[in-house]
Amino acid sequence: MNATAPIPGTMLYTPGAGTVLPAGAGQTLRVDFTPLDSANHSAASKTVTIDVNSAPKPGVNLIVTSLLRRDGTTGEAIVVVTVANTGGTAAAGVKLTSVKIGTATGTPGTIQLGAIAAGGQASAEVRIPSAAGAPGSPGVLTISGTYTGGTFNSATRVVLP
Amino acid sequence: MKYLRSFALLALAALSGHASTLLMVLAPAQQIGIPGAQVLFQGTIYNPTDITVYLTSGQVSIASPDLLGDPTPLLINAPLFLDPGEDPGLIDLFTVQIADPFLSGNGIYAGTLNVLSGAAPDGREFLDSVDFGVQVGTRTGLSGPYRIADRDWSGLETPWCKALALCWTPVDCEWRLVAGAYREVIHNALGALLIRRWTLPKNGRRPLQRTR
Repeated sequence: MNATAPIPGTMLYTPGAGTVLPAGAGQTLRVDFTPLDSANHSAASKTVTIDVNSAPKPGVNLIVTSLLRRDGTTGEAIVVVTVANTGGTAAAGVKLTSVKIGTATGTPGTIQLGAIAAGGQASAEVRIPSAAGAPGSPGVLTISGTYTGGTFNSATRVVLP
Repeated sequence: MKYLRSFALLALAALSGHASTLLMVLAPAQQIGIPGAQVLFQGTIYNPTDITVYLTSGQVSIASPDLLGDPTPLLINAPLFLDPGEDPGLIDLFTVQIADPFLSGNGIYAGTLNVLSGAAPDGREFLDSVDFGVQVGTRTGLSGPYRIADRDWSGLETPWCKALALCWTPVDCEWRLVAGAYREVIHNALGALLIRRWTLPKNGRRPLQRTR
């Protein structure tokens, strides 16, 4: 926190200035301002909250998100798969090896996504046969993949578009 | 007359990325297995927030091409959503299948369970992660029959051993295998008398599945 005031005075921070906060959401920062000329100016304070996330750890952590839509012509479910690397190490040779809704398997079966840098992401589109289910029906989208030195798998509750 | 003159605060910007919402604990966070075995991770998920959180996706990322995570148990056993302060208890969260042959070499392999959740049934705006480890060993040097180890190592854990976290050294691993082998011999000898006991849930309190 680095508060400023248009008049001379003292800022008192809680926690103290220079404190390194631990990771955690909704932590409170407070500043109390005491004006030097207290005869003409009032004291004031302000409180804000801050979310502190942990720094990425060494290693690869691949997280999959997906967007679904329906091909109005073929009836296929189109899944846009995004793989994000939240780890602190780049992932090489990332590829999707399987995308399914229930037992309906998407095509292409294998998709090369290449390297994903730490903090980076890559996307691909997969088409799943209409046999996956009727629009509005619930299902489980399972996505599997590999990278050089590891694997990643996800299972997501979805409602078919 | 006193009057307040405004002063500006230059607040620190929150780090970008998803905020943690749920509290997840694995029990235990490290498991032991051998090639061909499947290890099961159990744990608890607690919603400490004041909003209802929908659990929409479970994901396992693990640092070995010979280990295959499966987060399906999370979707099967966890409720669709957690109300504020809700904790569904100890539930099966995911499994890790150890390939046979296991070409990565004996050792401890790190992984992460990621759970995407949101404030709506299809929400995925929250990301919570918890780390785990799988220690992979071999059958070499084990005495006695070890078919039981091929089936389910977790059944070999004694409560005191688990509680004291003494299960994760190679020596203890072997001890557990030998103990498990003898348990297998006893089991085979007593036959049907013990069948009912072996089919009970491991912890005896597997939570009921809820449908909402």
